[in-house]
Amino acid sequence: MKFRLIAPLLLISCVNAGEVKITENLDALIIKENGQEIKIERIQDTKNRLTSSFTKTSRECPPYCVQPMKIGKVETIGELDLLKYIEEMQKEESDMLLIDARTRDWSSEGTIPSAINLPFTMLNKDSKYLEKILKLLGASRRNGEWDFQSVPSMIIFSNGIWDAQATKAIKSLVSLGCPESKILYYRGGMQSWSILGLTTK
Amino acid sequence: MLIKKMVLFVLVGTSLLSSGSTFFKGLTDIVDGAEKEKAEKHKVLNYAFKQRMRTQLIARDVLLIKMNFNTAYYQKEALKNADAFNENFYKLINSKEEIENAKKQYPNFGKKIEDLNATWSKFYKSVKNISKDSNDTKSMHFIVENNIKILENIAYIFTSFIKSYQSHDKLEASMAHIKSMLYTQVGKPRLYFNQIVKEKLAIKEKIHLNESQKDIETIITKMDRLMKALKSGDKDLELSGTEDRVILEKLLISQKIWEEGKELLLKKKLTKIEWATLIEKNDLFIKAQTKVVTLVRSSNDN
Repeated sequence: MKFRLIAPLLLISCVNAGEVKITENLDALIIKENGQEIKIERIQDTKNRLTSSFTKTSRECPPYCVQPMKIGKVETIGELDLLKYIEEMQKEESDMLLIDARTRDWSSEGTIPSAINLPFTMLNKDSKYLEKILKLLGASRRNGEWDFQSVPSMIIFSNGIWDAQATKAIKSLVSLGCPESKILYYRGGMQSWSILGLTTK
Repeated sequence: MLIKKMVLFVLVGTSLLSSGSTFFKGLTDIVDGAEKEKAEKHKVLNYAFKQRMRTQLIARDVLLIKMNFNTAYYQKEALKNADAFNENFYKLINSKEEIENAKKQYPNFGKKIEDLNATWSKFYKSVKNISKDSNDTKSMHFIVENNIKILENIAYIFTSFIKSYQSHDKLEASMAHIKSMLYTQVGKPRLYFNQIVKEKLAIKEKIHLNESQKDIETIITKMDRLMKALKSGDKDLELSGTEDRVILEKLLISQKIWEEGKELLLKKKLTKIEWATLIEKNDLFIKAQTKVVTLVRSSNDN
């Protein structure tokens, strides 16, 4: 499946936003989650600096090693693409999922609005939850093989360029038979998202 | 100049994949269920983890009772810690599935549990005796002579549990190893401080004179190195240090208490007031370092 280009702006409004825009023409993206409005914007304080664990430059490798730019034929995307997809996901006919592939101890510290936590460990071929998850995603078994035709397209991320959790989740899905065209890799992950001061939930 | 601001509003539908959908809930329920199951397994680890510090604390308190230091209070404290140890120990050995799993991987595991059970029964009885009679020298000696044995058996059980839980997934196992090393090391200074004070008391009460003095020097060196490593890292201790300001602030508090306590520990003889100060520093240190442990456990700065 190919990803569609994003729909034009649905509503443009003049508001008193801050000076730290997302792009020259975009201040914020407002979405709804669990019935609540979430405004995805950058932190407006130009003096703000990160104090979280994402300021750390060096972690033990392995396990925390620099990840490849591309995983097989899976397309790698950046923040602006991701924002467009988040916008797309809000539509009724959307066939897209944003997956935070990190284990719960990481994701509970904050994630990208509209993401769902699906730890990479649960997509391992020997995970006892695998069948349940794949069926819920819409996959079906045919002659012992998984058919991913009805599975939504998935954007997968983890902590960022030093973290293999997303890579592992993508590789697991592909090895189970998921077409690479159904997956997008947001390589920058939580660290890139956070360093831009973008809203987390 | 008036700058026109643009905000993109997304008209909201109820996509099947939106957070309010059945699908979203179903997936979240599965992940929550898996997390709950994992947490249940880790309870056993917590039972073992909590026990390590208690044995040293009980032995220290028993020696304080012997030197008539706040006798009634420490009789209650020793019994309180022994009751807690007993409760956790039986929870631990009643975790049948986990015990069987560890036995399969570690042939000595069953024997260690049996040994611990036998020693602990006598140890617990001795604490009960002292809580009623502060002059029960026989029970006091049993506790002072066997606390290290119990500590070592608990440490073995703890390590075996951690290893038996190790994931078959290389990435997950490696990530978990880094965390478990950190949690173990960050909790250790409390154990060391208790142990040094206990040895110091053993010298005062003329029990194991030479061994205790040697132990004190060794543990002070280990403690100094560990406190430094928690801040700045130490390759051999598998610690990378921290830059987290909140953790560093709390570590500084612990460090200050430790330095003040160390001054007293290095003195050959202590007055009654100095003993009281040392015990106060020991208890303050445990509280301060427990705050560090809590912060480290909730952080991913590792």
